[in-house]
Amino acid sequence: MNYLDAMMMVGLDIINGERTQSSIYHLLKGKKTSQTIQDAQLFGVSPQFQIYPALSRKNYDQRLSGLLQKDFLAEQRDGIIVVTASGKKALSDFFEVRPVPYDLNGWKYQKSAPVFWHRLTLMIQTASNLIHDRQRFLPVSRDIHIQNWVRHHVKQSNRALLDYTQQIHKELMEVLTLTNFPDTPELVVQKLSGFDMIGLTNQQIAERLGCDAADVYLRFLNSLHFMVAAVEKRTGDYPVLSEMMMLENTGNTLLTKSTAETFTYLSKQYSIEQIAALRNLKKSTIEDHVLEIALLDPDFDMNLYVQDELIKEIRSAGEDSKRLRFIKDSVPEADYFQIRLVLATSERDGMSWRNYFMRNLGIHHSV
Amino acid sequence: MEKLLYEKFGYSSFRLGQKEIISSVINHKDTIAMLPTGTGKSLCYQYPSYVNNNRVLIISPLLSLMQDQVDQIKLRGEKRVTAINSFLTFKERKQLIANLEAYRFIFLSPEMLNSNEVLQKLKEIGIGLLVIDEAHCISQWGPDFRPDYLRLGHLKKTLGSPCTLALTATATEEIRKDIAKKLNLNNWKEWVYSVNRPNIALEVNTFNDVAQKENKLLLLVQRNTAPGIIFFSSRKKAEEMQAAASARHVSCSVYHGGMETDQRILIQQQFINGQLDWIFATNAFGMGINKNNIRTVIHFHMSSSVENFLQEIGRAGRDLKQAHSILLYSANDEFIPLQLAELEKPALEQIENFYSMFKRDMPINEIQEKLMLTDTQVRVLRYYIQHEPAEHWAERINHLLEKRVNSKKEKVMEMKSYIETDSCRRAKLLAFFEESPSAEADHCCDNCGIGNMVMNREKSSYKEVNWKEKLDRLLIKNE
Ligand SMILES: Nc1ncnc2c1ncn2[C@@H]1O[C@H](COP(=O)(O)OP(=O)(O)O)[C@@H](O)[C@H]1O
Ligand SMILES: [Mg+2]
Ligand SMILES: [Zn+2]
Repeated sequence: MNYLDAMMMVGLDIINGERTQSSIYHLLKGKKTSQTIQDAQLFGVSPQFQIYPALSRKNYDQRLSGLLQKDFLAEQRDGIIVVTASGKKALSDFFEVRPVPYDLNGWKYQKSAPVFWHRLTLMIQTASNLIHDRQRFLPVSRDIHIQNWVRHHVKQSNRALLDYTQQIHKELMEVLTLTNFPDTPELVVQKLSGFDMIGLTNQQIAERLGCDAADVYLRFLNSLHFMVAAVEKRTGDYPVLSEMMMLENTGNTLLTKSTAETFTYLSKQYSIEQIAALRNLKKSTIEDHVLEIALLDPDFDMNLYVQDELIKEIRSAGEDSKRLRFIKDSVPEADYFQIRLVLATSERDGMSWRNYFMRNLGIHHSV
Repeated sequence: MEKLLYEKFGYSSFRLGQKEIISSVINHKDTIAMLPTGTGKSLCYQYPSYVNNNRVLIISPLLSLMQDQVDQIKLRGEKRVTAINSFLTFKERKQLIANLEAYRFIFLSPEMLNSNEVLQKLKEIGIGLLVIDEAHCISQWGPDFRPDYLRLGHLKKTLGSPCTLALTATATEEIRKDIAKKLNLNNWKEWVYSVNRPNIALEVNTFNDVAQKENKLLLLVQRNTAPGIIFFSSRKKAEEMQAAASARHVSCSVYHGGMETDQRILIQQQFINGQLDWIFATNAFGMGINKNNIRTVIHFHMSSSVENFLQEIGRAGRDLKQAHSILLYSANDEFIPLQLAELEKPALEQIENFYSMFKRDMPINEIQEKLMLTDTQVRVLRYYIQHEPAEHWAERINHLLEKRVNSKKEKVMEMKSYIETDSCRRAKLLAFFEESPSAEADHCCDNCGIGNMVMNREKSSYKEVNWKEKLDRLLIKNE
């Protein structure tokens, strides 16, 4: 069992048979469909969104049948797979001796974390070579956008370059030695390349740490998301690092194109019905857009669509089951859109995902 | 001439053949050039561009190789270089094509020849020199036949028949004729240099079983001169042997196509930087990397043709200093490449079904899935269905592909005869190219007697340190 297995099992356990096993594949892979996005929020598994963007269906299926064979999972009926008691035991044993990736926030950092990391690595490689008077080297990142960003931000004059490089050093030291840093900084620093030093692969880091390469990947990701969150929280302390995680056109870059258009109308106070008519789209399509926006926009005002009283009722019904039909039956005055909206936004911070480890596996937060 | 060579490329003199080939290209002559791997063919199309001040289009068959070449040209300070291939997203490709005029060197992967948008743009911006790298891929009789390469004749016409340079490391006379014909070369000049690499000593070790061979490999990586590459035909075996070597404290890593790109880049660069002694690789490794001091190339599995073998050992000793090729053979090793050759051909039934499904407009990926065809098989069949007449299509294509299987099998057996020979291996290799050794090699082959080779290994200063020290070393300049 490795972290991928563990993340699959956690996801399956949280959806608890209310969705097919495929939905977990789409979640981990980060498929951008309303279904996946809404489910991620609905069930509170958004921290796991897109944490394995390179996961192939074949690999996923293989791990799944491995877990079924070990009886950690059981297939209830076609496509519906739940975690067994021995599976839960295995999960908590697994995390007994390994860090729980509490800091993962796949949904929130799907764009900023990889951009930050690629800029950071290429900038360090560039600055490190330049301060050692080497002008030419093979870049570790071939992404042209990343290369352009680094070219624009690397300091030209010698003095400024040295200051800048020292500042990166200072900020990195600071964030890596925070008392609540979730894992060993080796995971982060050994990946970096620079003058006469090429970074290590996951496999090589795994050998150093005596663990599995697949585990290095996820533990690193968890540390990376921790760093992004820590920098975001106190940008003033990290001027250079926070600049590296700034997305070019902030705001609605995460929205799909059609949703972005709906967003523009919404900000001009159009109603859902008006937008549907104007854009010649179905009302339900616009509602999907509104849901997507609600998940990403911290200033979204839900009261435009549901009153507080109803929100409370829907939330409490949602404690018992996430099935829309069930909630609709217990709160008949709410419509489906209102139910989805409330359920989705109540899980926005991923708290229930973090709580899962304590509530369901009896693991206590170690830091 | 040498002045420009130094200014642009940092080399002080031309290597054998380069000056002749370059002159021929500068004088706008269609040219076929055959120079052994690792001796410097890339220079032959880059240099003329600075003299004639024109744009160069390079067709290169291997995606990974293409990216390496782009990197290397950038590394010497030339920024106007780019590659159009399937790695690009739709949007990136659009942007690049809109801006294509800005580039002096444009690399193109063969499958992009199917895009009219690309062809029209190339025509519009004008190409001064068309380069076909690994030109032997155009020949159906060569071991690396690429059907997309057959579109090159069309490309050349579309571009208004610019001066064309075909580069290859390995092509028999028959294949060179085929290249000229398929590319519609006229009045071309041929520069053919010996495929011999006299600084590489040739050795073959034979074993009765695999276990013996494995033990020998582990000994070799502990005793022989690094840096080196060990070639495997299976990823799994490469991983297994690397783990065993690693357990014996040999500095090494695996490299194969199943790894993610960023991890592969790291391994390549670590090897170039001297952080790693040995790479356990499939033949995906090393063609494009610029490392001149590789001392040893070991084949754990035999190559599937003499041509590939030469390419692979050619990665050693590019600095022209002594290097060593060791092929490890255990009984029946030829079984795998023979079987692979067999498996590559779709069965007659699959070919027939492909035909009828294609004619019924079934989507290609659906056909592929239904008939369980590999990517290569689909590529080949698709090409033939578009370019061969319908009459008796399936039988004819079946026959054609059968012939290719047989010629591949012959190639494997040629390789086996290199292994089995008890006379000079160098002479044996060269005979496949209708050559005989001209100069005596200092350390020829195990059959002639290799003697005592002195190979120096450059020690690297690299040392693993903990994260704090590493961060200091990276970012703080110690005066
Ligand atoms: N004239 C030269 N002097 C010194 N080194 C050269 C010269 N020409 C090429 N090289 C080096 O030879 C190596 C192989 O060149 P490359 O063009 O990639 O070979 P090929 O394409 O023939 O396999 C490169 O490392 C290159 O830097
Ligand atoms: Mg070449
Ligand atoms: Zn000999």
